[in-house]
Amino acid sequence: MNRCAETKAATPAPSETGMWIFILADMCIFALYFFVFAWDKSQHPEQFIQGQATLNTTLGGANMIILLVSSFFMATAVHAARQLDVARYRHSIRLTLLCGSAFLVIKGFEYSEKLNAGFHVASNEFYRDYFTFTGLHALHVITGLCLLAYALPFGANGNLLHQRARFIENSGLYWHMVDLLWVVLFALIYLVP
Amino acid sequence: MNHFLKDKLFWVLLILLAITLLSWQIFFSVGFEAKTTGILLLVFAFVKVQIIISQYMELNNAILPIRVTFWLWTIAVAGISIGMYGR
Repeated sequence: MNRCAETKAATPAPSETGMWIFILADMCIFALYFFVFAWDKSQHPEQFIQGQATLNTTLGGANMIILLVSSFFMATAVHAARQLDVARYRHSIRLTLLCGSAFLVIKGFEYSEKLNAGFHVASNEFYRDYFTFTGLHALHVITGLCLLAYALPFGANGNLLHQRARFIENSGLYWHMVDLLWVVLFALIYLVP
Repeated sequence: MNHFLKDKLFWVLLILLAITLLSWQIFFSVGFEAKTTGILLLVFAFVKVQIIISQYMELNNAILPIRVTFWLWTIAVAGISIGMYGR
């Protein structure tokens, strides 16, 4: 670690205001999905009760825990990047990638379970909402994984970590947004009776 | 393990996991009326959202208008979701 990097290591690189606005816009779009789901549920209560009963709450809950743990590793990676701790940064990013990949594997298993049982996006309003909203969320997970895979080599040395600090901070914000959207989706789709 | 116990981020994770387990407990318990269960589950979900925004996303590092807007988002979305469910 050189002297310049050491001096700047203590200063957190704040995420760009533009990134906050982008995330807020994305969260507003998802808020509309939450309202659409709640509205559809009020219009077709029986269909939604029956649909919810077919969901695998254990797998959805496992994915909830996996994303919460991944957020912890992501936050740890951001802190490690600020301290120019390359070993901890690489370790934390790898664990975040592992958690994100596990989420997608479980989601894929869940989808195949539903499709094999004959449920698909056009089956009824419940499955339309379920596949659309969880599918869009899964696309966000994939985007987040791409950002993290791109950010992994930044842990090669302290200087590179310092130069790309803002990208890492912004990727962290994005990943936490993916996590918090699942918190609401999981409650709305899987749990709320 | 000591390293983890000194880490604030780890304690945040434990709180988030505890709220998740509490939500599961409510989901599987038969003691509450369906509407009460639903409202409680949504309240817990939005408490978790606010913890993630404030602790992991470090909203305090953002400029004031962003901080206010994120707070408003949580309050508005939680209010509307709970309102739509509870009516």
